[in-house]
Amino acid sequence: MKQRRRMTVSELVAFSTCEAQAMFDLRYGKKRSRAWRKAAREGRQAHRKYARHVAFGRGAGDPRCFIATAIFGADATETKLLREFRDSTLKKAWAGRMLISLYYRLAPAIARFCEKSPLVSAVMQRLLKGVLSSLERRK
Amino acid sequence: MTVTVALLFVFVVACAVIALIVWPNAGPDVAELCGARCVLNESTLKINHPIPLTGRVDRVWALKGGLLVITDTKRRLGGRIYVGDRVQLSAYKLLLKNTHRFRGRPIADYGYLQMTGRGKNARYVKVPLMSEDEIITRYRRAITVKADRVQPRPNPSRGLCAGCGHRQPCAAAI
Repeated sequence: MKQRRRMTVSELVAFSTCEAQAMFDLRYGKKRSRAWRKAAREGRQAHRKYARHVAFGRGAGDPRCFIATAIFGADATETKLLREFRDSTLKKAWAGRMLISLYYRLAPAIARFCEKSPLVSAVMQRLLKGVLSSLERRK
Repeated sequence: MTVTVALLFVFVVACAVIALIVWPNAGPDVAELCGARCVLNESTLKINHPIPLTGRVDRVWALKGGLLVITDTKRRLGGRIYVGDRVQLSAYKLLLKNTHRFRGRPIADYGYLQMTGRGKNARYVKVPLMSEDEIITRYRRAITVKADRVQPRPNPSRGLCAGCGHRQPCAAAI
């Protein structure tokens, strides 16, 4: 039995948006305004940029979840020490869990800001180093 | 111990102050996707059943519990969701569900649109997905229209018509 040609998702979206436009496009080719074509070109560029961003391991989660990751790196000793403190001490107490959840709510925005502003990054680094040295003294 | 917690508290307060300053640019964030693993990045999927369909999925994230979440990048400023967006993400779900690699894996009945704006920080908008039956119905309708068996329905949207080059023949036909 002959297999029917697969419909593309874009085609399905076009027919769901405006059937008349989709049919005219099929018959006479896409005719759009200059602004529309420009927006489509910019959209393709944004897609490629973000695909590269994800391919290099900077996904939706990674850089924005942990300020320590953004400042020290994912596999740095400092990051590991902070993770250890989070899992072994903070998670055990109610107040600690509240602190973690608050941190997770704020961290993505701060991590992004740290990437942009060296000043904020330096302030955060200083604060985190204070926490780290206090943790090391405890050991 | 007390010093550590006090320092950590200062750190969180500092974070809160900076977050308040940068909040207008940051937009709503998806805590859910933090720590998620990207399992598909700009990949083309093809299926023959239940309908012959193909599409390039932007990204699929596997959450810690194994749930798969579909995201799509849009270069838009506002957070408005169109029917086309819902159809697109739902069609991607159908593709994933029937692809050998992801068969049997749980897929969320929602997705996210990543609105990148124009050079602004990305913000994610949650999109409820359509059912599989609805996508199949839309596919059948598209096939029928393509085969000229029924009259195509125009979308009476001024915004859509403004950017369309088929305005005049379309108005004449209708």
